[in-house]
Amino acid sequence: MEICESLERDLDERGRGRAGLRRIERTRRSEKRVGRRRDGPDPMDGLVERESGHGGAVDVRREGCGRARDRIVAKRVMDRVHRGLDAGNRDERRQSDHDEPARAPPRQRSGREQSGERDRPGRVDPIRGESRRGTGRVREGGTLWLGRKPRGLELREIAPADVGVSRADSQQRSGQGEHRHDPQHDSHSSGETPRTQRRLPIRYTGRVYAFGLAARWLHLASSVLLVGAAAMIVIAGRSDRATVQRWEHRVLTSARWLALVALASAIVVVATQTALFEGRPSAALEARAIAHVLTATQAGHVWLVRGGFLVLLTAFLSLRMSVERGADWRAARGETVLLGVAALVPLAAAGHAAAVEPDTLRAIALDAVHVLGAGVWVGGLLPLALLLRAASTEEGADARPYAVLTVRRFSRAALGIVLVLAATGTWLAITHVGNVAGLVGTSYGRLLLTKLGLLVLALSFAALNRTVLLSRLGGDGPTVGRPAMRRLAGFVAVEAGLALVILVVVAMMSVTPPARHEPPLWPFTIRLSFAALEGRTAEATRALIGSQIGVIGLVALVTGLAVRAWRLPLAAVALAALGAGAGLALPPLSIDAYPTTYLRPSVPYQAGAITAGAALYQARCAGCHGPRGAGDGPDGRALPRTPADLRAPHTAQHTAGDLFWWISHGIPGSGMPGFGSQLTEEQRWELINFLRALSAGYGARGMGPTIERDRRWLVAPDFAFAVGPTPPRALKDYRGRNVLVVLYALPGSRPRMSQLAGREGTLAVLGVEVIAVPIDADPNAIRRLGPDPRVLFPVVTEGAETIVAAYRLFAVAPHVEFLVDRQGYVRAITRSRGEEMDVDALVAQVQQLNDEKTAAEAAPEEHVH
Amino acid sequence: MRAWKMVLLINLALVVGIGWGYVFWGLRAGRLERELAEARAAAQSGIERQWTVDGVVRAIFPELGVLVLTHGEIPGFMPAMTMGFRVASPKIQEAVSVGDAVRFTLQGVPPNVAVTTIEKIK
Repeated sequence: MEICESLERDLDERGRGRAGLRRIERTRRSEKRVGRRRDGPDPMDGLVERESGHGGAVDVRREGCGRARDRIVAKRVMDRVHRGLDAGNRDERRQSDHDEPARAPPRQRSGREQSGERDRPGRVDPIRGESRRGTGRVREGGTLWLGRKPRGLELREIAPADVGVSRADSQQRSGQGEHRHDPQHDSHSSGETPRTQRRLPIRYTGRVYAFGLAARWLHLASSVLLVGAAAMIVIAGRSDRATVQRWEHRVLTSARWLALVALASAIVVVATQTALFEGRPSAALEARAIAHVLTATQAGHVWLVRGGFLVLLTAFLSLRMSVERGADWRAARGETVLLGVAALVPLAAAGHAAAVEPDTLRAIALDAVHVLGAGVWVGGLLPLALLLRAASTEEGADARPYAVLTVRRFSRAALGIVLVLAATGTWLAITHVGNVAGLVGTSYGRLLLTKLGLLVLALSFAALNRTVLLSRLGGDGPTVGRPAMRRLAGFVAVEAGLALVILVVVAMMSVTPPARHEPPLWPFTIRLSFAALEGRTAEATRALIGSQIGVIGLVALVTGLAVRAWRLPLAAVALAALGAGAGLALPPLSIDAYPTTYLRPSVPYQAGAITAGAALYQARCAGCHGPRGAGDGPDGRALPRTPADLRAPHTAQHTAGDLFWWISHGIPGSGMPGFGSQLTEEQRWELINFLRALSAGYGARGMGPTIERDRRWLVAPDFAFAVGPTPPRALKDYRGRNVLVVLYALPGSRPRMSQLAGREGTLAVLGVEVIAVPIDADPNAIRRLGPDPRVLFPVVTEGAETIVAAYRLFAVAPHVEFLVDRQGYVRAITRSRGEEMDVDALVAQVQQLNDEKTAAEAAPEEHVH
Repeated sequence: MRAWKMVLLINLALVVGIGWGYVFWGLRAGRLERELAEARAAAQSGIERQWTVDGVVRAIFPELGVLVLTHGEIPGFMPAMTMGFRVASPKIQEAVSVGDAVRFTLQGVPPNVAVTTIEKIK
């Protein structure tokens, strides 16, 4: 979120010099603010972008923060992983990119685009091509490659349906704007302006980190304690006992100080934030920069609002009011709680929750509830300990019944709050972390685990207090319950201390990118997966029996909790059964795993990557694995283990990350060498993309011209193409329409092409777009087709080579037609020699596709997995 | 003053302040939106405009005076697509043939535009 804001800010700054543009920029912002999506054509778009000459940031804005951060952080961690492996390598590759003009972009670009590109070294951040699920179609464009080299042609296209956003505009964004905003690029670039370079540090570093963290913790703790103190007084209720009034006065006084501390630390937090946005520590002391952050970013607005409430609260607490009467007391104390909550809760809108997509509002609301619950629970503990302490002394004896009552009330409230915290916390964890790999494999996940561990500790203290000490508090005598009360006070204080430590972890989490946006490094050597059981009956039986024994253990455990008398034996049985069940069930489920197992490929599944991977395969792998991947290469015969048949559908057991590890490090004892020092990270992913296409193509042998209802499995690799000098577009732009990808060769295919040209209208009405790809990749393909018949659908004149190379893995024939459905899966393959065929049969297939219900999440993963 | 009255006053002030801020913001947003709409309309209204665009000749209809072109984006008018355009003079059609990459000038008051010049590129 915050990173995004900083990018957004930069755009605003750029626009500032041009007074004329400023108004338009502002207008656009406000348009965004009023929540109106830009569906319709917006002619201003093209104009503004053109005049100002830098797009890009608008894009980042639309894209949502998670993504921006995603991009930025993901590769950074990847670099961390592989720094040892191929640090030198990368430089080598970069060098080679410059050395090989043969890989140059397949088409000349306009002068300005070129100048924008020229300074960039070869490595394109592949993470850019990431899936942008849920962000709408406009944002679905990815980075696509034509030909071998990513930097040659990089585009961010827009779906044809979204006619509103101009194409040239979007292209400019991709050509110039976007990568400027990609810090990774900046780090590699030598020719970039200082302006972009100073945006580099996107994480807290060094002193700023420590300072910012301390400030955040202080702020969090004081805000939380403030709410807790105010809430505690209300929970405890009014009393006229002297001890209680002394306690209340003390708590209120400290609340005033807490408000001041919160205010001061908030200023420090905003200042460090500013330093972060600006990318230079000195900005933290510049009033102008801070003011800009406060007024121009969402996080800044949130801090402003919170600051306002804190000031109001401080003022309110400083007022001298008579609260003799019940109504006055309730009003005054209630107002304290209200203002405290109002100051605390907006925090949710400035944190990670604000960057969640698509359910941003829900995430913020849940986070707000979480923060509020934590405030009342965590913050209430210290005042409670103070009250117990005061009441347990000799002179405070008059307050003992009140203290006992308060403890009971708080205990009940805390139970409910902890349940709410658990529920919202779980939801937020799922949103931010997502899976087990993220939990154990990223710093955010590990912080979360630490937090949970501390929480369990705090909760066990709470349970002890509740069950053991609370029951001993009763009694009427002057000394009865007093030692218990003192001990309870101590325990509550310890609980409060633990809670404050938890807040340290929370503060750290708030400056750590959520696990979902970081590539996880799996810390174990095995993982558990049901895929391990595929085709192994004995193991499956064993796992089943083990799981049943485990269930018996669970039942015993639950019974043991419910039945007091049999607790010990039942617990023993439960433990034994659980242990035995796990021992039986888990080994068959375990699969070897590597640190990279859950890594998501940084190169998307696209024709360009597949073709590049194919070339690498032929050069490096074919010797042993065979030219067609059957594991029958001549060099493989002498190896200790027969090279794997790469076409086999056993890949379900292996993640792309597994393959990545094997390619990088080899497989000990098998003869498979590691290529970590010879291939760059990107090349290894390309290879993996090729392997996926190879395996999929092997499976596609049986796919014929009729579709199988609701069976989508063959992902159509995305590709970029251009028709003549028009801006390139991508297959993915057609998501939502059916596409007939026709690989044709003249003269054989002429009859069929004429037929398709004649029926194009019919097909268009049915939601079918035709894309014709000449197999010989002739740049004069349109001229060769000639004026008769009038072929008006796109005929690829650039990029055909790559498309043909990738799609030929799926079917080889003189004339092939791939029917791609609305979600981007190949559903039918027609192989022929190009003769006329029954168009009505095609129409029938399309009708069937259109009748299918498309699931919302059905868009194929753009990455191998 | 009684404490509850004071609290009431504070809250009232808060509500009024926030409400006023919201209304102010809402009105301003509305005004900006209107301005935007006007700016858009101005960009599209009946002024004669001219564009130079790259494209490919896909079909020629001499009898209709129409040239079908696959063209790049025409800013403020239409996105990249394949489209038939009227030609200003028959000579333009004669100058090109199917499959030619061309740079053409489109002139007129949208949506009544015609190809006024054309030249082959490459």
